[in-house]
Formats: sequence, structure tokens, C-alpha cells
Amino acid sequence: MKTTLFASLVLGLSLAIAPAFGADAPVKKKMVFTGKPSMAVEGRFHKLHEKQEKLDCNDCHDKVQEDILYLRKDDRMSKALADEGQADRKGCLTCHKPGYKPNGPHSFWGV
Amino acid sequence: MAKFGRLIDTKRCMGCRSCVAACAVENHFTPDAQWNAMIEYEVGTYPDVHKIYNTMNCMHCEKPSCKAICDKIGVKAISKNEYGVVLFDYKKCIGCGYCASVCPYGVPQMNAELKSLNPGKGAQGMETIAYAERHPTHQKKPKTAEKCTFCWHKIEKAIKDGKTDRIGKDQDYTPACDLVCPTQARWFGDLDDPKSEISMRIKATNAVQLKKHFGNAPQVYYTLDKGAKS
Repeated sequence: MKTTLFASLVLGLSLAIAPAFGADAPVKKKMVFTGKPSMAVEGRFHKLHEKQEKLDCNDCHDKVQEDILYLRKDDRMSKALADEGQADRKGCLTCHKPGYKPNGPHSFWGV
Repeated sequence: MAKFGRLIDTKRCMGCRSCVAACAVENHFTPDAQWNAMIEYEVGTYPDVHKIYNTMNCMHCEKPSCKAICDKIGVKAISKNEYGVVLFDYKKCIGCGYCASVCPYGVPQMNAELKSLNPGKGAQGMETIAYAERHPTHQKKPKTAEKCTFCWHKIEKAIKDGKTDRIGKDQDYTPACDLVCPTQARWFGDLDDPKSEISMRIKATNAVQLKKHFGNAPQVYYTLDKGAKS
């Protein structure tokens, strides 16, 4: 019984003081967990851009320009399709360009 | 090492869609997940109007944004091999759709279900081969991304046979779409060889890449007809 109590005490103390010894270790950049990658409205992509980056739906979906040189026939961008989920890829490049590092708690997936 | 590419001449293309049909049979793409599509639009003002036929398939970019995003999220289902061909690994793909969202050409197709090429008419073409015996690029899975492979199964065969010099020339070693063009509007070959027919034609016809401003450096070139978009 005494041995078990002593072992528990040692284990508890070790766990309690461990962070103090690890304090000098380099702090890793925190990734905000947003789930499995998905383009669904409730998926990670929209969580990151809408909830975390505070982008409005219209920031992406209202700037659609007609682009007929697009293979997926149902997705060919036109102003009529703007409300149906299409986004102008040129808008993505506003942030996702080499050297651009916005402030934020997450890793930035630039180009 | 060769870097394969394609030249499409919109001045010669008459919009017959033979290339689309050939790809559908060769690679078993279904209407919901096209690997090759014919896009047509009108240009000019009356009375000087005409139609542009612009067939599109994967551009096999030198800097593929689909691969970049797939690598960034740790899935790594997209590769670009030493011959410049961008390929999707259906076994690794998680169906997130990120590749489809970043491709400026709208190439990756999210195939929700594997349909028959001609429903109700029995197995045709590649469907007659048992799933396990098909080439890996033809072992498609539902809810994964798929796209044109430059008929990698044919190029791979040419490499195995030691006939890379016959790619773009022989039936067994040339992408199906390029073989069937009745107006010789499609050329396939080595972009790295300045003496190859495709390289010389690109130069002679001042062919361009589409949407160059995205910086993907596509390996598919277009000879543009008057008024054609790029």
C-alpha cells in the first residue's frame, strides 16, 4: 500500500513539474483544429475562411467573372452561377501568393 | 528526360468532339466526370462573327496547384512524374475537393459514383476488363478526384518497350484524343526537344498557354484563332 502511494506521489510530482523543465523548448506554432479537409459548407475550408479569417460569403462568391475556359461544365463561371457556389480563383491569389504571411494562429498555406 | 505536352490548334479544330469520344472510351470517363470537354463560343461582331472550338483537358502544369494543395494538407495523392505527367492516386485521395477548388482550369472532377459508360447497353471498352486487372489510372473509385492522365498507360507502355521516340506517332503510344483528330488539330510530343514536331509547331504558330497569369505553367499549348480567349 505504501509503495503504491509513494509511486503515485512520484508520478504526480513528475507530471506537475514537467512543463517547467520544458519551458525553454521552442514554442510550436499552434494549428487550429478545424477537421478533415473538405470543401463542404460546414467543412474545414469554409471554417477557415469564414469563421477564422472572417471573410464574408460575398468576398469570394460575388466577384465571379465569366470564365468559359473551364473544364467542369457545371462549374463554368458566369455571373448567373455566382450564387451557386462558384468563386473567382483570382481572388484566392490576393492572399495565397509568395511572401504573403497574414497574422493568425494557424499555419498559412500559401503558394 | 522528355517532358510531354500537347498543342491544340483552334484554327484547325472544327468542334467534332472525336477527341472527347475517344477519351471517354479509352479512359471510361462518364458524363458527370469528364476528362476532356469541348468548349465553344462565338466571337466578333456581325457580320464578322465566327465560332471558336476550344477542347480542354488537364494542362499537366509545371507548377500544379492541385499537387501543391494536396501536399500541403498532407494527403499527397497527386504526383508529377519525371515525364511531366500529373497523376492522381485514387487510393490516397480522400475526396476533399481541394484540388478541384484551386485548379484555374476546372480540371479535377469529383466523381460521386461510377456509372456505366452506356447505361443499359452492357459493358463497353475498358469496362470489359476486370477492375483489378485495369491500369492503376483506370481503377477509379467513387467520391475521389479524377482527371486526364495524358493516357499515361500508353506512355508507360512506350517507356517499357523502349519506344519513347514513337510517342505522339504510334497508335499504341499516343493519347487517344490526339490519335483520332480528323483535322490534325492536336499534337503530342516532347516539349524539351526543340526539334520535335510539337516544339517546332508551337514556335511556328506562336502558340500560347491559357490563363498564364495564374503562374501554373501549363504543358498544353493553344494556337489561337482570331478573337479566341486565352
